[in-house]
Amino acid sequence: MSGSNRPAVLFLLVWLIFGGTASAQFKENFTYRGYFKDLRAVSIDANGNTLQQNLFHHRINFRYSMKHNFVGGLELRNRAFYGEFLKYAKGYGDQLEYDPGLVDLSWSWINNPAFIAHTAIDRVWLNWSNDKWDVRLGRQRINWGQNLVWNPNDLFNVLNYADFDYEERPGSDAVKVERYFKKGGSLQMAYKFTEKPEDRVMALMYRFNKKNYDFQILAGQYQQDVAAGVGWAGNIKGAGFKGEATWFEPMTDSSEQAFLTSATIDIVLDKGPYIMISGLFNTLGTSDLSKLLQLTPTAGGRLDVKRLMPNKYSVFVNGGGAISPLLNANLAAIGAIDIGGIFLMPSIDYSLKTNLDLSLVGQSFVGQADNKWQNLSSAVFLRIKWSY
Amino acid sequence: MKTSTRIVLIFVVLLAFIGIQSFTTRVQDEPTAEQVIKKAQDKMQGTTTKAEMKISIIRPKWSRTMQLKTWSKGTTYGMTLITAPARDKGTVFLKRGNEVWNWVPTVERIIKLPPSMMGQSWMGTDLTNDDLVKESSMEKDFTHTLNGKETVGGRTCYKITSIPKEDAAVVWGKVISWIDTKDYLQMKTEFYDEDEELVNTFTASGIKVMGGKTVASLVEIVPADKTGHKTKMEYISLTFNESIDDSFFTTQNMKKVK
Repeated sequence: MSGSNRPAVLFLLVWLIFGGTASAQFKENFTYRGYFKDLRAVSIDANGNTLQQNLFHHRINFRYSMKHNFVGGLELRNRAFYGEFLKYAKGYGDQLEYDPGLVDLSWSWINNPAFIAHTAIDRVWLNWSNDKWDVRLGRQRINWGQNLVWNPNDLFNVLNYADFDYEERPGSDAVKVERYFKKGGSLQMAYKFTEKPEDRVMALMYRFNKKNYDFQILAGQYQQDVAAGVGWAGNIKGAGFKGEATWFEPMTDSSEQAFLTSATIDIVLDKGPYIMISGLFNTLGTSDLSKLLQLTPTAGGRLDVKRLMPNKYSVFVNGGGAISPLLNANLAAIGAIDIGGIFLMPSIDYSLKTNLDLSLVGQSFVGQADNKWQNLSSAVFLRIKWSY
Repeated sequence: MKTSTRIVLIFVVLLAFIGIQSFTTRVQDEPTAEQVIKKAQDKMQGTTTKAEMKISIIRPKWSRTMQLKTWSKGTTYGMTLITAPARDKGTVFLKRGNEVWNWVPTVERIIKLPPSMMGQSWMGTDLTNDDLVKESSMEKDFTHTLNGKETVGGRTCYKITSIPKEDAAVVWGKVISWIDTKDYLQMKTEFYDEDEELVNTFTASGIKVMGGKTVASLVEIVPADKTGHKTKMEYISLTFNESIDDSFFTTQNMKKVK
């Protein structure tokens, strides 16, 4: 879609969803919420060079409930980037501008080496539902995961754990139809529209609960592959036991066969911390340590469900909990075992006031080279968030 | 997950708390201590409750308030929706038997929670969720003695001392309850540890008619050894025995509940 059409398309979408009425009834059925975030970061690369980055972030989510069980949703993300980071990250504004969806809803409206202002619509959808059916059309988040951290079943939206500041995660331009059954369980069909037909994703998923376990079975087309997978979430005594596995079989020569599986155990120790341990196996993993940096939030690229980690064998360990009702501390670590790489992410969250939260987050990618552990890339983030 | 570890406990606590409220049956004859406790137990079974409430943690230097809506049916089904503060608004918890799910509105995802999350200390109080849930087994796990009558909050109350049975797996060494003779309201409860030291005191006030019953609309929990610490639970609205279909308590409905 050409850039000049965008405002018109946007206007049309807003008009379709919010109908342009401003009656008392409109006010009653119309809700909004969001937040402001200020994020300061200092990063240090493998050569010891430091860079400073600032980000001011605003989000607003609109909902409008209409007659006949229709609901519309629109969510906007406005961000302003400044700081010396931009001098080195040439083309970052253009990278942000790129919208991988069918409709281009991403604008870098100020784009210069000192300052970038960017707006993106990451949700815009119309939903209709009744007791049996739920249908949603538009840019939406389709979550097919049962597992924590790594989701091989999540064909529509891949999660990068390191990108902690994007809590909502990107959406897909798709249609989703879900049929619920009387005895519980549901059948879901989703189709993701893409600019290039070879990138499209369409799949069916059946979900049911048996013996206190949630199960799911899915099959479909993922880009140039046929994909089939299973997922589960249940308990072993006091611990949670979840997992997923997906097989990707190529339909063309330009794709590769892949199998990914991940399982997780999580538990809250007696009056103590929350502990989570997860493992991931990925047949497509390579032994290139430098690819670990694809996980850095500013790398910008989206992860592919076939390459949730760049390597073959990974483990995730997390421990954390409330130190006081206002203070939470957490330490997460990913070990890319086969390539000798580690990602560490300690964080502290403090509630300054109602709806005002302070977070201090560290991220460090370290790797083994010449029998020595060294920093590949590290950063410290200080964030203040006001929710409304 | 951080928010959920703190919040998930609330709704199960509420189930137990609402159970306590169900003391409000009028009994003609002077009942025995066992009968009072049994009445409460029977009342809890098979009934539904719908409530809107406000929970505050009060500390010497700060306080935080949270508002929520809950729906429950017996002890099997429970649904809780956080309505305030803005940060947590829209978060939903569903309990079906011993399974618990959490709806995270920002990522539009349902996450199944491990059962051990129920044993967590509840919102900075000294109570764990399990402690409170075990309250519902008062009848089974304790022997009760009537120790005459005392006035609490301007109401004449039966004073009942409950001692755990030898094989009972309970954390309390002794529980003393003051139950109003007129409306069977639990006006005050003291929880003692195994060394007979006072740990927590529950005090009820704000007595009014809600959902067709006389109830205490405000309950305060005060830990014995911490000055200036308090947890307040206040009902904004309360409805009893309104028919709620089992299908209300489904993961499907978590996304829609308002």
